[in-house]
Amino acid sequence: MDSEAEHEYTAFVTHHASAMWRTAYLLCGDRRRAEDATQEALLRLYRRWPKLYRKGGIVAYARKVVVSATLDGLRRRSSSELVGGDTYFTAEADPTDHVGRAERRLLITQALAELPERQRACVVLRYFDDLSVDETADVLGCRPGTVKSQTMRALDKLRLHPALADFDLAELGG
Amino acid sequence: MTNQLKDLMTEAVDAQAPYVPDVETLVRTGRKQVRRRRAATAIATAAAVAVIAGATTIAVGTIDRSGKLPVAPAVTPTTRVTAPELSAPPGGSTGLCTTADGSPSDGWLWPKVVLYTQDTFGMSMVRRSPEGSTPDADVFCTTEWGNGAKHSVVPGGAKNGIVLRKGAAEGRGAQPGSSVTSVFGTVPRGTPPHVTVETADGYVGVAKVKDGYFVYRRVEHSPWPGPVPHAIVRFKYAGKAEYIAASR
Repeated sequence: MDSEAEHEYTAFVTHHASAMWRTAYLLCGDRRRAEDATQEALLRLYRRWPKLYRKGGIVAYARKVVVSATLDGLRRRSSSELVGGDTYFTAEADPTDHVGRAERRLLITQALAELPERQRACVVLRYFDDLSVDETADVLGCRPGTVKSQTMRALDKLRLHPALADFDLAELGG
Repeated sequence: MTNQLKDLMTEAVDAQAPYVPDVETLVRTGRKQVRRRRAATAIATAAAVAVIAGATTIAVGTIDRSGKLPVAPAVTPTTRVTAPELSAPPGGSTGLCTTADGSPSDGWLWPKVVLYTQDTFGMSMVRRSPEGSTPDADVFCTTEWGNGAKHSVVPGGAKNGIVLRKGAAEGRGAQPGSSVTSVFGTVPRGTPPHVTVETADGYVGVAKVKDGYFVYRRVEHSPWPGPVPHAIVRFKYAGKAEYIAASR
């Protein structure tokens, strides 16, 4: 890779690595695993950078790779392990935070953790990364119809999740 | 619901300390990986080229490109004839061609090959006469390793529609007491039949068929030199029963 392309790669990492990590974190619920997946994705990106740099579509490819690396990482773990386990999103709870905010985080993340990985990926990509159905299908390597059905099932489960059933959703967003 | 979902997820992620990648380490590791992959690719490519080159050498080695005239044996339809000693170099190859009636031919030099079949010991082929395509003019040829061509036996002529030839199986992988049986013949023009050949060992194989000819080749347990084993040729047309077209 020549120095100009490498400079562009460095700029991309500086600006996009955090967003990639955030997506990975929501998919796996573990900070260290999200970092590993992001790093693996960035290295894959480095290897293909000259071609991607010429052809474009770097951000889409990066998102696809980070999702794939995260889900692969999850599959390599024991199949009986609950995503994130007992420490899912709780390890870094801020003791000074308002109790209600900490609880909300806990509840939504527990609910996410109980979704099958494909449904969780659909929710994260559609409603956190704001991707369209087609873009989500491209990232996950499936048909748009599958994304729609998986998302619907995921939302149904979230609505019926006991942790969220009693939650006053109207107070969110503040 | 979906906006609230986004808020919840954003809130959960924002609670984490931001991720700051070590760009220098990433670039250094990326360079190393690229170098390693390039080296692995180069090694794999070199190995593949070596294998292909080796295979090509073996295959090409069975074809005589020396420009020497082939030595065609004098044959009669009913007797086995010992061919004159061939002057092929050790490890090289030579070609023996006869017409359908067993007459020797210099067809080995004709450039047009109608069809051929091959194994590790050589090739059996039909070569087209420059004069034009007629079953009487085209020739049936076999290549043989120079080392094994000293006592070639070419049974004379076509009998019951089959040109049957026995040759030495020499070279890498040759088993003691084995030889190569080549079976040639003609098929009716038009829609070609499915042609099978049953050799003396009871094995039934499928012959190659093209442009009015069939050719078949099999390594048999039959000592070389020795009597020419028999063969049965069967034709099968679509929708019709298989029948014996020729036997010898």
